[in-house]
Amino acid sequence: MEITAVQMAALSEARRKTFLLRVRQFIQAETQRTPQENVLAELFDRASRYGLVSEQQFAGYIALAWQFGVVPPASDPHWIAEVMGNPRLRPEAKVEAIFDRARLLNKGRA
Amino acid sequence: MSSFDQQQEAIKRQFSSAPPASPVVSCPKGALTEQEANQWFDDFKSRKEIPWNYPNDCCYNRAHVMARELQAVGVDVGKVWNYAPPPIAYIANPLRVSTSNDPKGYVEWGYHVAPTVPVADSRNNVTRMVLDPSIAASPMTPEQWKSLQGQPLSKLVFTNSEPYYRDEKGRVYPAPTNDEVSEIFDEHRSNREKNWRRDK
Repeated sequence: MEITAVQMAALSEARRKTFLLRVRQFIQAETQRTPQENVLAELFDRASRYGLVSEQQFAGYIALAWQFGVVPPASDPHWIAEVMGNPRLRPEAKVEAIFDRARLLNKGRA
Repeated sequence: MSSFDQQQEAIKRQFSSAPPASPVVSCPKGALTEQEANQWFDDFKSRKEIPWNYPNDCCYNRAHVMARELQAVGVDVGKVWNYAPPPIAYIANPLRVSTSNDPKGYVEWGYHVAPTVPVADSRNNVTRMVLDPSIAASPMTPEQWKSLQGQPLSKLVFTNSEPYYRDEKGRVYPAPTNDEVSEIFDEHRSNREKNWRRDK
């Protein structure tokens, strides 16, 4: 069976929505707070522009950015934008690096 | 809220390493997304065995290896050749690129070659882009690539990925074996060292 470009695009959009629902549930479980769907969708698009590839990378960036109060179109904090915009870093290294920085910031708050 | 360590672990358990909604599904066959093109560019540039820092020579070997790998995953890869204008191109009107990878601060060529890939933007408009980490920081259009080489009278020729070397008259030469390709990289890494030693 041949799948047309339109069908493929629809399939991709459906997968995106399902994925964002799972991210939303993940954040709810982790933080006991409920993110707005449109905020997660905007963060998804931003993650895509940062060159992230896998579900794990998207979920990591979206969950972390949301917990630090990022609400597009507002920019990411400098410490996130600097890492995510670094073309020398591979996608998994970007997400690993922002979690490292988040851990350091969290220690500073203790 | 759980710690970030726990969150990372939970993410690894609950989410996969596959794309969440493949951005390439609606891409025309053989094309890359802009992100994929950037990733390929960065991946190639990080390869230590490829002498990106020896712009004096080796473009044909670098282009061959990149093209071969892109072709292996179904990318509609081609090559773009930039020829200095005749007559006696190399002497009279060479291509010239500023670079910190030569003691003189620049290199001159009679021709230069790099692979090209079709890149689809978010509206599925496809543009052929050049991948050339030896002189560029990211994928660029052929016109941008040509202008980096400082010779307004030079001529661009587009081919498929097959020619290993193509002269300005269109004569093509077949690719060497994989072992020979590796040996050429070895030789050019060595030549780079000699080039810098000579200058001291």
